[in-house]
Amino acid sequence: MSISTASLPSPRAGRLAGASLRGARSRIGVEAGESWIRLAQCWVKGGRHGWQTAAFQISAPVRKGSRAAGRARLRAAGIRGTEAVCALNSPYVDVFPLTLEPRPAEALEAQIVARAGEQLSYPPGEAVLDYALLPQAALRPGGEGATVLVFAAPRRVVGALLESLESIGLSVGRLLTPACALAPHFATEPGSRGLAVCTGDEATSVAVIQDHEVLIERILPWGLGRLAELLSAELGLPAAQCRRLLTRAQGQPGAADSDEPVQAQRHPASPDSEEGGKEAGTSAPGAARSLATPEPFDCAVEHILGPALQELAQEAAACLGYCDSFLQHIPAKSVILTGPLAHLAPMHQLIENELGLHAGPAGPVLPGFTEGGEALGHAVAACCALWPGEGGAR
Amino acid sequence: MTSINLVPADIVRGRAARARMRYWGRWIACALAAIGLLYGGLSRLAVGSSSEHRRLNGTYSVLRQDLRAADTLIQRRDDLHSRCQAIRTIRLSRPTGALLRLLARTLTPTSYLTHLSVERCPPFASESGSGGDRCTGQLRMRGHAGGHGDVGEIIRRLEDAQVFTTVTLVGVTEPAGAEETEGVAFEVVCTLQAD
Repeated sequence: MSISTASLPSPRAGRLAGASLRGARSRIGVEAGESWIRLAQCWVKGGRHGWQTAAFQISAPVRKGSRAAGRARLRAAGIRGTEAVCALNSPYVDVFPLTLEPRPAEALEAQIVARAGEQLSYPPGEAVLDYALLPQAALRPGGEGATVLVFAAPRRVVGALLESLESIGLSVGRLLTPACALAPHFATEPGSRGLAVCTGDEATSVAVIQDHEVLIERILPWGLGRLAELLSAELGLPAAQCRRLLTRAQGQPGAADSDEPVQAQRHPASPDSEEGGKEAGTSAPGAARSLATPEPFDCAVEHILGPALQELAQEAAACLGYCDSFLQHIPAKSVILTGPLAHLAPMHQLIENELGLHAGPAGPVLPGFTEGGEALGHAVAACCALWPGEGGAR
Repeated sequence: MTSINLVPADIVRGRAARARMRYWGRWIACALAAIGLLYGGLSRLAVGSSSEHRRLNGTYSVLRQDLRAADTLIQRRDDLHSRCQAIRTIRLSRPTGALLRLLARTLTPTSYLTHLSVERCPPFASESGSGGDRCTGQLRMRGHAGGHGDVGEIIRRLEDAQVFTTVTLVGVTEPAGAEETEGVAFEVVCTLQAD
C-alpha cells in the first residue's frame, strides 16, 4: 500500500503556458478505464497550438500483438513521447472524505490507513491510497481536526493499467482521478463552487470543485459504453452505432466517435480560441445541437437512458448537498460537462432540472479547445497533458 | 490544486530501478564496446607484431646458423693454427742430436757421463705459461771427471755454449776411500732456452 503526504500546491499554470510544455509538445495526457483509453497531446509551433488526440480500446492482459497495435496507433495519431499523466476514470476508484483528529503528518497517515479500511470493500493492503487536505476556505469555521479527501483504487487495477500503458510505450508518472485532472483548469469565480461532470467510456465522475481544489468526487459505474449498450439493447442497433449516435449529439457528425479502432484527430486552434476559453461555463451550444440531433432522438435517449442519467443528476445533487452540509455553505454557480457525452441534451436537461443550475459543455474552459469540437471528448486527457505540477511520482 | 498520485510506490521504485539498470546497462555496453574496439586494435597490432616477430625469428635463425658455421670455422682455424704452431715448434726446436754433439764438445778428455736426461716442453707450453708455471726444458747429466778442474771446465763450456739459460752444479762428490787420482762424480742441471 502506498500513501504519501499531499505536496504543497504548485502555482497554477497558464491556460496553455509555454512553460508547462517541454519543447514543442506537452507530455501525453491519458484518460483510462479498464479497456478504453483516450489520449491527448498539445503541440506548439510558430505561435500556434493544437492537439493530437486518439481513443482506442486496450485489452487486458495486453498481448504481444496488441502492444504493437497500441504503439502503431500512437504513431498514427501523431502522439510522440513516453512521459504521461493519467486520469483513472474507473468505477474501481473510491473517493471519500475523512475528518481526522489533529495529529502530526505521520499519525495522520496512520489514521487515514486505519479509517480507509472501514470504507473500502477490500483489504487496505490491496489498495493504493493517497489523500489531499481540503482547503481551509472550504471548511466550516471553528472545526477541529483535519478533513481529507481520500482517493483509493485496487492495486491490481492500477498495476494492470500501468502495465498496459507501459506496453504501448507510455510511462505514467502520475495517476489522478478525472476531477483532480480537471481542477487546475476549472475556472470558477474565487470562492465559488462548480460541479464538474466527466463522462468517460466506462465510468462517470461527478465532482465539486472550489478554487481549483476538489472537495468531493464520486465515480459512477457507467459511461459511454454502458449507455451505448442500453441503447443498443432497446433499439436493436449495434452498440458501435449507438456510440456514434450518442456522440453525434456534439454537433459534429463527421468527427464523432466511431467503432473504428482508432480515432486520431488533429485540432489546430486559432490564437483566438485561447482567449475564448477564458469564459467559464457560459457556452450555449443549443443551436448547433438542434441542427445535428433530431428531437425524437433526444426523446428516445431520455426515455431509455433516463434512469442512468437521473442517477447521475441525483449523485450530483448529493455531492453538492454533502458540501453544503459538511463544509462551508457556498452555493454552486455552474455545472460543466466534459467527455464524449458532454453535448448530450437530455443529460443537460436532467441535471438542470435536478440542480436548478445551468449545465453546459466545458469546451471553452479547457486549454486550447474550441467550443463544440469533438476534442471535448478528450478534455480530461488534455488536462492531464497540461497538468501543472510535475509529472513524476511523489 | 488537488495533487494526488495513485501510482504505487513499489512500481515507482521498480521503474527507477529499471531506469538505473538501463543507465548502467548502457554504460556497460559502451565499456564492452570500447573494450572490444581496444581488443580489436590490439589484435591487429598483435598480428602485425607477430608477423614481425616471425620475420625477425627467421632472420635470427639464419643468423644463428651462420654464427654457428662461423664458430665452427673459427674453431677449425684455431685447431689449424695450433697444428701449424706445433709443426713450426717442432721444426724450429733444437734437435736432441745437436745437444749430444754439444755435450760431447763440452766434456774434457778425462771426463765422461754416466747419466743424461732431457726434458722438453710440449709445443706452445713454454709460451702459454705465465710466471712460475712457465714450462722450461731441462737437461740433467751425471758423470765422472778427472778432478774439480775438469768439472769447472765443463760448466764453463756449457755456459759459453749459449744454449742454456742457467747452468747449475748440483753437486760434486769424491768417492769415499778413493785416491785423488780416481777423479770426482758430478751432477749438473741446465735449463734450456726457449725455442
